[in-house]
Amino acid sequence: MKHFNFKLKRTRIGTRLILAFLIMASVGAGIGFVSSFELDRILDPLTSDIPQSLAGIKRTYHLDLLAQKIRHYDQILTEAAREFIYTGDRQYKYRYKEFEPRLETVIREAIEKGDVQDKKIFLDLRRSKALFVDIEYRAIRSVDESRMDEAKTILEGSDYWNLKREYRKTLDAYVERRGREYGDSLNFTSMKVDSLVAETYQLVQRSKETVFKFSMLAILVAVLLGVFITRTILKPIYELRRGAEFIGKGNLHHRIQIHSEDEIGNLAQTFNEMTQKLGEFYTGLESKVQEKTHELAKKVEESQNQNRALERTKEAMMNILEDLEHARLEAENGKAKYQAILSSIGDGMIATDANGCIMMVNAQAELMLGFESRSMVGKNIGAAYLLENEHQEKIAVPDRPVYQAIERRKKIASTAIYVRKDGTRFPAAVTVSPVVRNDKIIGAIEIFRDISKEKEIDRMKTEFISTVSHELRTPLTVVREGVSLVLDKILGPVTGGQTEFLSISLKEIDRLGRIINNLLDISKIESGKVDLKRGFINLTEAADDVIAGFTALAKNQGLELRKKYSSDSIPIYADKDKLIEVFTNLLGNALKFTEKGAVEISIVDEPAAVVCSVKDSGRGISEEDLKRVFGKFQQFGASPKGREKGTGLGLSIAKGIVELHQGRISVDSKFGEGTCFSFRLPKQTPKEVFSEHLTRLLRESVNDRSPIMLLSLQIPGDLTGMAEPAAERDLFGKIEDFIRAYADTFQGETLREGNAFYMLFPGIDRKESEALIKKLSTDLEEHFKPPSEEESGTFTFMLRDVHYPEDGSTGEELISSLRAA
Amino acid sequence: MKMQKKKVLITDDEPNIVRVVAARLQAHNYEVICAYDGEEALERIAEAMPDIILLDIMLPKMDGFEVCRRIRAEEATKHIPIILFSAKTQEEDKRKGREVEADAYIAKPFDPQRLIDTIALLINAPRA
Repeated sequence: MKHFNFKLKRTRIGTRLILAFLIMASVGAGIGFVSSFELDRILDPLTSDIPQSLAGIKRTYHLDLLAQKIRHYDQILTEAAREFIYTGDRQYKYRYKEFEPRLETVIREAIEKGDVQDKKIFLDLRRSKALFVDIEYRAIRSVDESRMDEAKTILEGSDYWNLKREYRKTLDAYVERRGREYGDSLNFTSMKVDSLVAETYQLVQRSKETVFKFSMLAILVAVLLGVFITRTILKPIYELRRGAEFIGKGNLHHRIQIHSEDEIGNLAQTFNEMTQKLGEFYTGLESKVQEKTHELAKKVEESQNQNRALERTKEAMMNILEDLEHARLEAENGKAKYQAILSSIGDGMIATDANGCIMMVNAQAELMLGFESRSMVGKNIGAAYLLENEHQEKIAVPDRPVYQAIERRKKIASTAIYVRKDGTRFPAAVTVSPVVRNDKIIGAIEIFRDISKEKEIDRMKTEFISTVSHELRTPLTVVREGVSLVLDKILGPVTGGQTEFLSISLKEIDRLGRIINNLLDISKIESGKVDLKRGFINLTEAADDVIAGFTALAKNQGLELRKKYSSDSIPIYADKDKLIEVFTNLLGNALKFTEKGAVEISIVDEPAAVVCSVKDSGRGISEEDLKRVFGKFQQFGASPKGREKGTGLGLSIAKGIVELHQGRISVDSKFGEGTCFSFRLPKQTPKEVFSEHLTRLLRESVNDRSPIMLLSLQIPGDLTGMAEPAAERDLFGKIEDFIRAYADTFQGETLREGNAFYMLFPGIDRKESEALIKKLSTDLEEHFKPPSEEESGTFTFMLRDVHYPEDGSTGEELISSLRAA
Repeated sequence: MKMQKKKVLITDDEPNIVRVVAARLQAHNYEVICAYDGEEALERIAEAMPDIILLDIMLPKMDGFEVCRRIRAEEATKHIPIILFSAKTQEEDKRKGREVEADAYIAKPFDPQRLIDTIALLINAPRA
């Protein structure tokens, strides 16, 4: 037993529980098996012995009934014969004749049903019956022949009575025999039943005993198992709980005595280790607490001393303040008026003196920064709250806008990240104006506005465009390539009908792709995310390119394509690709909706603008549709058969592009006569466009915090040493192209003014600019170095850079500091 | 002598795109290797040394630009032509692509003929 227990300690708890359940289950199964065996034994006699004896009883009873009938019919016959003879009443004769066959039938039945002995008896009976019936018939016949006396003699004769007696004796013999047998049968059956009951009783008793014994055994096993489980599983758990209680009460030296090697053993071990560590930690903590308590006591004493000193200082201050109070009350009235105005401003506002010491904070600034006004006033602005740049680096105090404005004596507009009292941050546009009186700076006012929402909206807009384009184009790519793979027969042969419909699908897929692109173009145009790539272009050339592309189509449709230019060369400073897109959309529409006649493109050069128009002789547009013609997804009338279906966005894109060029687009149409679209592009000089661009970038940068670099490239004309002015012009042209290509890579804008080029690079700060300028100057030298010594002279140039926001906050400031540099 | 098939690595996080492009390239007798994120792409390149790489930009774990930068930084792989393959057609992405020295940029949805032509051109005229 001991050995057994030792082995069990190593068994896992789960295994132990499974073993216990297995034992219980097998005991239960044993009880069930024994019970069913016992019940089988009880059933045996019930199914074989009793039915047999019951069958015997049933047959005996039936034959007995026949014997009774035979006796009864015989009496009737005897009586009927006698009555007829003595009374002569015919009714008795008929009665006799009726019952005689019945008797015969009954006897015959008895012969059939009986066993060998019964058969013999009944055959004898039948023989004697035949004899006395014969006598009786003779007697009846005598009466019929009126020989009454003879009849009487026959029936009173000893022969007749002997027969009768014998007959009845035979019947009695049978009844006696059968009666004996009946009794036997009954006896046997009842005996069987008795023994059966006794036997069953015994069996049930025995089964009860067996089942009882087994149940007792089961209970015993369950108890043993219970004890076993309690000993090996629950007791250790109880031990653990007791241990935990001990430790909970602070007895950290208690250890749990469980040495089994199962999970609980492990738990106990871990628990003991934990207790030990807790004890160690607690000891350390106690000594630390003592240490701190001591320190605290010392500090309390110190601060009490300080308080006494402060108390004295406060008294002195109170005296001064009382004097001041009088003066303050006088100023109050005037001040209240300004306070009301200042607190109603939606932007944060902080006023400082000439040293940057905070004098006033409005309610909005308190709200935005989380500091209370009275905790800020009197502090230096650099110490009151923190400012960070976009890289989350702290802005040094002298670089803060307030100090910059005081030092440079001018208004500073910038952006910065403000750090709130709770450490959270928000981006803000900040403006600081110096306060000047009598030519002397007496302070500064900082106004700041939270721009996190604007930045967030801007970011979301950009992200939306990019996400939509990605999310729509990805499935479209799979669909398009799937259809193409089938259509290109890469996946197997394709029937003519399949080709037809797959081609239609492919066309529609491409149309969907164009719609997505157009939608993105529109959303970019509308959100101002398109940068025009302007250059001096000849507008007639751009129009000719478009016309060339449509010539074949017009010819096929039997349409005349005319052009009318006010001069062959009409220069304009614009984005060529974008204007080609406008012409393509307008001309494509005109051809699509014109069945006969002509389409005419005209370009007229006016002093301040260029006016272009596309006129057709098509079906025209009704007056109500005319209002919606530049709207998105507006399509009027079905496209002619065989033509690529439009996207319904072409005209809104055209409108967007024209407006990006500061132009106007309009439509004029008479239903049934034709339509004329025309747009007007103002002639902007590069300088206008450049400064407009600069202004726009600066405006965006206020919200966006992005830096801007302005770069100038000066090439002293006479220093190129070129004799031929034509060659020099050519060189400048090449340099211009180079510069433009260079600026384009960075979404820059370029301006040429004589020998000088100006380039605008958004998003590039001073740090990044160094590498860029270095590369540009190496590239320039490499590209434009005179090829040989003969073309004497050197190619010299000067590169200068200024930066927003460091070198200025407005366009004029930046340009003037670039010129001054 | 039988010519060895050229190996193309297709990288895209959209398995269906990888599948259709692979079908097309296999029909043009290329051996196709697939990767579904940036890190996997680098693993495949190291073990299989493809002749050309088709690289989606918006990839999980590491974006296409970064994958491109790492391929160019590695002596063993810097000669492999790279085609950036993206559903974004913003100019900014094309510029970044040039910056990380990708050889071509194909926008999705793509013209299959252009893809095949570009691959053939870049494989036959590898980088200097």
